[in-house]
Amino acid sequence: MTLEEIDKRLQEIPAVLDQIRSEQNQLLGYKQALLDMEDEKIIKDEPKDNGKIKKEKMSA
Amino acid sequence: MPKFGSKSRERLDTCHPDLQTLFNAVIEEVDCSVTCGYRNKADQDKAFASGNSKAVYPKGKHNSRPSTAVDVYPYPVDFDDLPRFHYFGGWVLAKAEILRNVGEITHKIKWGGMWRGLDNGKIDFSYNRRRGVLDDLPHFELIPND
Repeated sequence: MTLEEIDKRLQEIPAVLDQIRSEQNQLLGYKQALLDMEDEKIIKDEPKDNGKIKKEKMSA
Repeated sequence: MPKFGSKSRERLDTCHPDLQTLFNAVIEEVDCSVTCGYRNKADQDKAFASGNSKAVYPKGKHNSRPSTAVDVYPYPVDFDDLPRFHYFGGWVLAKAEILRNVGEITHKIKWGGMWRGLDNGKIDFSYNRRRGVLDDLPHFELIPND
């Protein structure tokens, strides 16, 4: 790599990192909605104790 | 539990029932604000002129009645907080898939942060980056059923 090429790549990298961070946040949001659904399902499926639904959630 | 303000509610009411079902479910868990549902000609012309839309009336997804597109921001709105927009978009897409899987909505949803719709639940959040497509982070639209 020439110095010019290295500088060019170094300039590109912050934008690439931003894009990767965006993707990371999208995946985290997506994952959280799936985990929320699992939690809801667990609470709904838990046996009722004296007519009250247990509040504890199982860890993911 | 968060709930929509009157303006958001009014705008969401102009949207397709699937979008209403989706965002009525979203607001139960995440506070958000609907900034655009149906767009009439004057509003679409304005959006086009300002560069907020690439579509000429009546070709935009916001121009049908009911609207098949909606713009929603996580609330309180902070335009500089892009990570929150990305997180919100991913969250909404998963919620849409969940609702579709249980039959509460009938359409797949496409998001402006990932212009490719989910394909059998497979996500491709790098799509816009790989294709060099610009994000429209508040925008969600229905994918027509085959």
